[in-house]
Amino acid sequence: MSDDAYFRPRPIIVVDDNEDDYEALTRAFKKVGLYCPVTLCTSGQMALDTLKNESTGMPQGKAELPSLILLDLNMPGLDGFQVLKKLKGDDIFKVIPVIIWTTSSNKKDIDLCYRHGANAYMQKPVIFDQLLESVKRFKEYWFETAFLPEQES
Amino acid sequence: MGSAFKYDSRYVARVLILATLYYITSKIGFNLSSVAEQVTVIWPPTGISLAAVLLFGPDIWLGIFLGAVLANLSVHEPVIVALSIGAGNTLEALAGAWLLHRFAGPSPNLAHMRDVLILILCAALLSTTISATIGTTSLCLAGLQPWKHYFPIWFTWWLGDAGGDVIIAPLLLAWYYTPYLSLSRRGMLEAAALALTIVAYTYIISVRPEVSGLAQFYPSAVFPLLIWAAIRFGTRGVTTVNFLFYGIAIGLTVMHLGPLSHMQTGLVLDILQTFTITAGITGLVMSAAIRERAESEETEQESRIRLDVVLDNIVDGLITIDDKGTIRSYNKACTTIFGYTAAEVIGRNVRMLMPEKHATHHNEYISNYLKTGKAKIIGIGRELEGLRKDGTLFPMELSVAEVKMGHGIRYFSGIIRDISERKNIEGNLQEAHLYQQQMIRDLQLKEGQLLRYTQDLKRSNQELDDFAYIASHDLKEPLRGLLTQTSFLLEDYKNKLDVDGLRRLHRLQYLSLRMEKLIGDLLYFSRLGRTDLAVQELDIGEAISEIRLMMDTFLKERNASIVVPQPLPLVVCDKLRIVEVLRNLITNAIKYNDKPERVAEIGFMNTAQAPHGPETNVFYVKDNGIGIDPEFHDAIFRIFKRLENPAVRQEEGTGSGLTFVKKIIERHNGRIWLESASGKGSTFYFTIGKIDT
Repeated sequence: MSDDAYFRPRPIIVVDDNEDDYEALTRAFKKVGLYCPVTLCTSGQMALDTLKNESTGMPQGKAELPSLILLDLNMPGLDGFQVLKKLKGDDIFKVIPVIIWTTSSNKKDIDLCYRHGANAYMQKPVIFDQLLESVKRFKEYWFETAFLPEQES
Repeated sequence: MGSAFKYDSRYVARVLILATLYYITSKIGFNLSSVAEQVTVIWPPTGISLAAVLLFGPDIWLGIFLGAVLANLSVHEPVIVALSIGAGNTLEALAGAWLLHRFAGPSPNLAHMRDVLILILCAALLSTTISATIGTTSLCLAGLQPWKHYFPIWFTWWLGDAGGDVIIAPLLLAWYYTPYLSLSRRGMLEAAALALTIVAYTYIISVRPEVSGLAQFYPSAVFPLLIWAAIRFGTRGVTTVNFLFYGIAIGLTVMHLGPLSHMQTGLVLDILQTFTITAGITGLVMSAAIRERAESEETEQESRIRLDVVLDNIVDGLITIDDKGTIRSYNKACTTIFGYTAAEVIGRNVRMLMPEKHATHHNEYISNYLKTGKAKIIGIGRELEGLRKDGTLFPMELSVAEVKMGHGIRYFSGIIRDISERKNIEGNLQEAHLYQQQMIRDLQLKEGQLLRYTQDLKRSNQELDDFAYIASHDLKEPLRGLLTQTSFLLEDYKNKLDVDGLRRLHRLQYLSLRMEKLIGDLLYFSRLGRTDLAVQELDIGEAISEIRLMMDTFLKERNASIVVPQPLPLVVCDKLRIVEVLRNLITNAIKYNDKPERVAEIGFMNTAQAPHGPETNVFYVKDNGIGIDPEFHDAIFRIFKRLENPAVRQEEGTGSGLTFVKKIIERHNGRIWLESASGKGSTFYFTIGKIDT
């Protein structure tokens, strides 16, 4: 386990309108020992607002950037693609790894996401045990194998 | 050489005959001498010579020369003179013939005026001067005649030879060219009458001159006979009459008989000589003129007949009318068009061929045109209605031309074409055109519909896509939630629930999972129908080996084996899909099997071996399993259809495997069917067709 991740855990932002999925996910996080803060944004707009810190009133760019964004595709309002485009079109936010976290295994969706700069694409397993397995691998990869961008401060 | 000898012998014969003829006729001629022993008023050999050269060519000169020399020798002339005169006679004949050929063509037959005139001018009058000059000169030079008689002798000589050319040569030529008397019975009688008349006439005039009192006109008495002969018997008749008449006249004179016997023989002969030539020329000219006239009439007749034939054979009707509207000519086509025969209409007014509205004004039309010169139809042509004999009207096309004859007479000739058929065709065409337009409109309509259908189809495909997406996401999402919540409940409340509650929760979990699988299958099935095939060449044998590896555990657990009895071919197909087909069939073969050693045999057969179909490239998967009752052979391919099966736990499948297989085979333009019965094992056959890419 990485020291950075443990001692100075940056939040993970989960953008998903489905609270069941969110609950399953956070439960899985705990089960696999991923103890970083998780911020849930139930819509695309909310995610962008959170990132821009408007909700907290802090000056733009001064808020702590999340270590990762888990992004669902099918959402009311701004959908996952639109959020992805905005994030990857933003000078500050584009460094944040965005992992698509969705039900769809549609080739077109997969292709489109990577085309717009998604850093990974994962399908939500239906069965909790499988979800657990997925999350475990997710943690191992993103927090124990890969290096995440450091925030300049 | 045979032919050369033949030619030579014929030539020699001709030369000898000519020489003999020359000699004999010259003997007659010498008897007619008037001015000198060697000079005679009529010299038949000249005519014979000319005819000979004209007919047999210049090579015949030898005969002339021989005959002439011998003839002259016979009248006690020195050899040199005889040779000289002979040469003169020969040259005369050659020159005459050459001139005739030169100006009248290769075979002057005296039927034409041109030939006759050339004969008279060139041969009779011109070429004879040669003989006369050479002959007279020779006689005088040799001292046989005094120089003072040169001119009279020359003149008599010249006329004598000319007489021969005018009387004898045409006679011979005419009879040579048409030797046969192809006369009718009446013609024969007439010829006989003519001959009899000559004899009687001559007899009356010459022997009994007191009967007619016309003795002094005797030499000119030939003319009525000559005219008769010329009109009825042509050149042959004229020349024959001349020959006979003057032959008799001269004969009588020589014998001191005849009407002029009281006169001096020499004088009579001179008179006769003049008349002979005059009559000869007159007769020839007359017969040629008559002949030409007849010929031109014949030509006219012929061309009229030919014209009639042409007019009668043209498809268009042709009517000629005069300026009163009276029909003057009416061809055969008109009969077909109008129904009237020519006899029924000629001489009647053309109005009879028109419907009332035109007929009443037709005369006005003509007179208006004649007055004003303004053509309404002449040289323009228009479509009108014609009136048939049976009273029916028909559309026709009329073009009229004006024909101006002499003396201010005008004719109008109209060409009529029955265009009913064309009108019909035009009508039909019009109909066809309308029909075509209707068809085009229909087609456009259909095309529009098709376009709409296509759009509808595209939309429904899109809707299907959307549905698939909705199914995959929106249907699965709550299901996932259901599952998640159930597992959390099981996890969090494990110790608080009794056994029955736990059992029910597990049941809930199982049903949700099953639901999830079914949705997944439905999705996949719809995707099989929509997505394009990734076509490539696949070695089925290799594919089986791969499948064997993939299914290793499955096979081992069930003591099963995959058997491939013969090499399998290469097939162009979507590899992943076909592997799926094979896997599915093999799985079924092993799964639905109660034998201790389960076998799935995969093979390939050509048409001859394949049952139930004409297809080639038939693959089969055969098992020793439980078999399928024929009752269910169709049902097994239906989605989610599962058979009751004690050997297999119901929970295992969703019952869509064979549905996928069938769909994939159909996408490969193939067919799948099976042979099986309960307890007998099953054989699934399938084909892979050509794939359009």
